[in-house]
Amino acid sequence: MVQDRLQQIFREIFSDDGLLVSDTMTAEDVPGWDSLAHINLIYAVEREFSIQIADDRLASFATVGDMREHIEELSGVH
Amino acid sequence: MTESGDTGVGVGPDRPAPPRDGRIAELTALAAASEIPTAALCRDLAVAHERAGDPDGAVRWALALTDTDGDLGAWSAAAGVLRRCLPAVAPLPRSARVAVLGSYTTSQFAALLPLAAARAGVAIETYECGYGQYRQEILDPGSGLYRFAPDVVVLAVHAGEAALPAVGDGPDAVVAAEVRRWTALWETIRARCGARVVQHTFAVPGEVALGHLALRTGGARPTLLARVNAELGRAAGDGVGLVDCERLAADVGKRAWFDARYWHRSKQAVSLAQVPLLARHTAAVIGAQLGVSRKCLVLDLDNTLWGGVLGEEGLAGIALGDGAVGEAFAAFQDYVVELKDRGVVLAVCSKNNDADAREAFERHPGMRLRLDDIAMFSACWDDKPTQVRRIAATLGLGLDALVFVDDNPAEREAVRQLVGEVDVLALPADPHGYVRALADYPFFETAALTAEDAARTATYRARAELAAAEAAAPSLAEFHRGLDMTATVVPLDELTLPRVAQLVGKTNQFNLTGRRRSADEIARLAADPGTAVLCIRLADRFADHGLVAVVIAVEAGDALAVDTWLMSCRVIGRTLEDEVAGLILAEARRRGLARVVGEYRPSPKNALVADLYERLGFTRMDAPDDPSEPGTIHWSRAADAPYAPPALMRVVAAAAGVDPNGADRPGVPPAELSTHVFAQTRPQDRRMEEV
Repeated sequence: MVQDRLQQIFREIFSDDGLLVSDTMTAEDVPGWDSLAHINLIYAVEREFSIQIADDRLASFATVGDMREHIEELSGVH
Repeated sequence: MTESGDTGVGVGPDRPAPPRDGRIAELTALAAASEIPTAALCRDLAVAHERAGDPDGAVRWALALTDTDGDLGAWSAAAGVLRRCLPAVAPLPRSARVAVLGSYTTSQFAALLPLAAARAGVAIETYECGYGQYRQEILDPGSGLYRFAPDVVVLAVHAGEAALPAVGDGPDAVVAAEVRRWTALWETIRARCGARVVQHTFAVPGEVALGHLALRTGGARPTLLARVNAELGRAAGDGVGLVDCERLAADVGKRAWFDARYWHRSKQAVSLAQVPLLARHTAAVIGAQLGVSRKCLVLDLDNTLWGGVLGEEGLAGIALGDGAVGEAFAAFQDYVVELKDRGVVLAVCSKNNDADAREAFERHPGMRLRLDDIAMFSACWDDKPTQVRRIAATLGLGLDALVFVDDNPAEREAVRQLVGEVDVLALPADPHGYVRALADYPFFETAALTAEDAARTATYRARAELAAAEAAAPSLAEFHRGLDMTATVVPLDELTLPRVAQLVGKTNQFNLTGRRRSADEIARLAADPGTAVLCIRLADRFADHGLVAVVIAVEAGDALAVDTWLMSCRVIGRTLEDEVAGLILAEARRRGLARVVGEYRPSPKNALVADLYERLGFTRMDAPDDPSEPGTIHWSRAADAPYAPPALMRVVAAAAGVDPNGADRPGVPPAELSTHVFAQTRPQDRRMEEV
């Protein structure tokens, strides 16, 4: 569930309708994932799941999987 | 000002879309289920059309998304589609090179601006200066800004950039110095490259340490900022437009406008949630600077300028001025008058008798608008797309200068489909929201207010009086089919009788004989086996219009004589009468009668149907004039002569046990149903339903 909604967000932010997200994905794997796209992504995630990600956690995400787990933790959605 | 009429990209959704693949067909069906599709649906349709190799469809849906409440993500996706597809579609009315010079992180704003600008009719190419480099770029003659050779420079700056102290001494000098800092930048831009300048004003922060005392403290920063905004407005002359960010921020709420987390994270001075709104309004001001604003507001009358249907309620029955609903319509009219005073040309587009509609303007004490506020007054029984085209042609305006306002979703849809260049504004169901709906529409923006603006309607009215041009009427058959109309014949019973009596009592225009009968009289008449009563409901994909047509006919010799035939104003022009005629002929055949005899009794209001029987293939009878009913004409038609109605709707008979007022309600005792009917037919509700 979180994975599907994340995928939709990624597709919007990177304007790539065929983008498939996976837990092991990092910023290196997605063309255009720069600091601006990162802010847009975090904003979209916070809005979509009605959560606020703390700044220290933000810095600790290494992969999309880390982000997904934290979203599940904060939102209670799985 | 005259504009070409065929250059605008229609921003309305393209229904029915050519189904290029299953995905588009599936999404189009979803979109058709509601008048304004959601942002997500617009995004999916834009993407699907792009994938299917249809850039026109992709651009149309990307632009339609800007009229929804789509967020940053949806706008970003649509902006991507637009960037890729715009080069492949017909050119927009204007194109421009736009430089965005920001004092904060404006990348999201700059990325969305081309989408918003295309919605305003301007294809733009953008340049963005380095973070916070706006002043250097303007002052350095060799900067990237000047190499870009902009037509428009947007100064996207925020309150933090105003060099104002927390509490300043000598506030007049502080304000003057700050204003001078900005106007000097405008002058430099204007002098160096001739570009127009669009500056964002300063949203005054909502956190005020001085509290309410700030207002009493001339040198307090919030007070100074408000003064700087006002002075910038005063200083902005030719070639300089302002986007009133303070107003936008106050409107959405300062808490929503500024998000400290994103300011500290990445220097977003405008919350990312509000960037689409900021882009939309900036685009409107850019459009105004380039002369592509909308110029003419086309207004429906019934349930738009007043509550109720004039043709049914009469002049005394419409809601205007008194009571909460009447005040809502009066407030809407007041707002329209203000738009007219700022130079928006007004036109009326109504299905009404011309004389009745004009009488309301001349005689109703609650009217704010006067006849001479209206450049072209179109009240007749032509379909609205035809009327809208005629209004544009008569006023010498392009269709892409028009904004159409109507409370009726089916009329709005007709105009969207058949006159795609016209902007169609969806009014909310509640008239209290009308002013807000019109105020949220930003594309009447103009670059400057002149003495001519207030007089513009008079100029256009004169033009309308001279013009005789008439645009070709579009085919309505396809639109009618798309409405997915169903006429249902329902029995006259205790549930339908109150509504039938109401229609018999008040229908004026589509009423062949004008015989008024009480509910008891109708019930007595209907009990006679020689009497046929047809009650017809009409529904389409937007609305269930309820019981809208009534026929009472009696056996007379070898004929079925139509004693009463009437239809509610709100469904005139949908070919329902042609289908009803077929039902009357079938009823005559079922009773073994040879003919149908009709009569037309003229009244001051029913000229609309004077020719109805003739049009339906009836022959005028040489009956001697009845001195008690002067002017009455009798008509006759063989019941078994071939008759072919247009068949643009389904005609069905209600199944037994179905509540004619809507949902299936098997097993509900009659008493409860009667209460249900009563609740639905309170005069106030009914009036608002008479659309």
